[in-house]
Amino acid sequence: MNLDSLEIAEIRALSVEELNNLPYGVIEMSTDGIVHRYNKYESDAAGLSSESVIGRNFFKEVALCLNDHMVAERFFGAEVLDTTFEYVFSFRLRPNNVTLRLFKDKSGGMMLLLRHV
Amino acid sequence: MSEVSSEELIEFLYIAPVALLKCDRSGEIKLCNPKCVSTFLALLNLSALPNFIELLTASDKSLVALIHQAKMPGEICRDYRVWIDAVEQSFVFSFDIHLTGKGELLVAFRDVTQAVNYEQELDRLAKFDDLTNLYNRKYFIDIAERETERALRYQHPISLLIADLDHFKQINDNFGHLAGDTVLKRLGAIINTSVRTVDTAARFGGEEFCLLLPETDIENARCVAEKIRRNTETAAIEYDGEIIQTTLSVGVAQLVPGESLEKLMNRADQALYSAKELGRNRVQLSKSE
Repeated sequence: MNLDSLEIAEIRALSVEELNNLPYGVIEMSTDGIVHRYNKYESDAAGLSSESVIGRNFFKEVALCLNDHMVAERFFGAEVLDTTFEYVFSFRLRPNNVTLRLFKDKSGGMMLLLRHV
Repeated sequence: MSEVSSEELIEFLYIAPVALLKCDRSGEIKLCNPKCVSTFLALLNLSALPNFIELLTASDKSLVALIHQAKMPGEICRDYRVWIDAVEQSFVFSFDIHLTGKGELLVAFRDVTQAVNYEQELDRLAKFDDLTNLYNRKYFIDIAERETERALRYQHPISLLIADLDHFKQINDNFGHLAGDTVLKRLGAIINTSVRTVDTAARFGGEEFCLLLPETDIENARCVAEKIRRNTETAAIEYDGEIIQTTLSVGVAQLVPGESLEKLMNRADQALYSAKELGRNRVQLSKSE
């Protein structure tokens, strides 16, 4: 399974429970970066409960390590975006190799898919 | 006073404008901040963090040796500049590296490429005349002071040439100032190809040039001056479809014991004046006093 072959519309249609069973991380945000859905895969990997993340600004309050020009600036610099690349998380300064897919369209806001390598 | 939590410290490191990493002696990166990630991934175009020691080994083996030799905890280097080749361009990074008590490396580094480029450009502007690519007056005098002092101390010969284009004003008047610039540029090239690497050549201002020839007595200096004069006379300088011809007068003087640079330059200048008086397009030697 490659992140870049996943259908975003299908992921958006999943229930919270289905989202929590996925083998990759899903973070759904509005276009201003406020988190709407945060699934279990990423919650476990980051050690953050979904309750503590939902409703907060992802780049400014939750994952400051992604507030750079490879992730946050790409999201905010484009109206539509769909790109997948290798990246290194430095969450709490521990480097973790991940694959990231950044997705953004005009209607449904932004979605960050990720899988730890 | 309450303890600072690790969360609070991490917040600082998240926004630090300097790349920070901790690795073991084999170079495996254990900790790093976002600036470190973006430096490696966005700037150097890597898809994952490199092995730190391997990265340095490819660029600067002496820094790697310095790291391997370090035994005591503490500073290994500060503002150590390393040239790193990326896919399409090179970067200069400045490294501060510390050895911890546990034998790990704490590294802070910054991309200083732009600053280094500015420094080099500033250095060039401070030393060179833009038009001719010869040294400028100030830098020539700095070198000449040092070289004449050395020549006097070790009793080695050293000679000075002052050259001046003949009737340069007419070139400007007849062909325009851009033509004059073209002639000056060409003379700069003639001088540059006529001197040895140990010689120092400068544009002194206007159409006047100065050359300092270490380990050279007045007879050999005359040969150099003749060569430059002849190459100037025979150069057909093309400007805007026209051929401009020009000649050069040169005064030559050899430093005598106890003489100052200023006096030496005065004598070369007087010899130049005589060359002009005697009809130009010639080399005139100064008799030492």
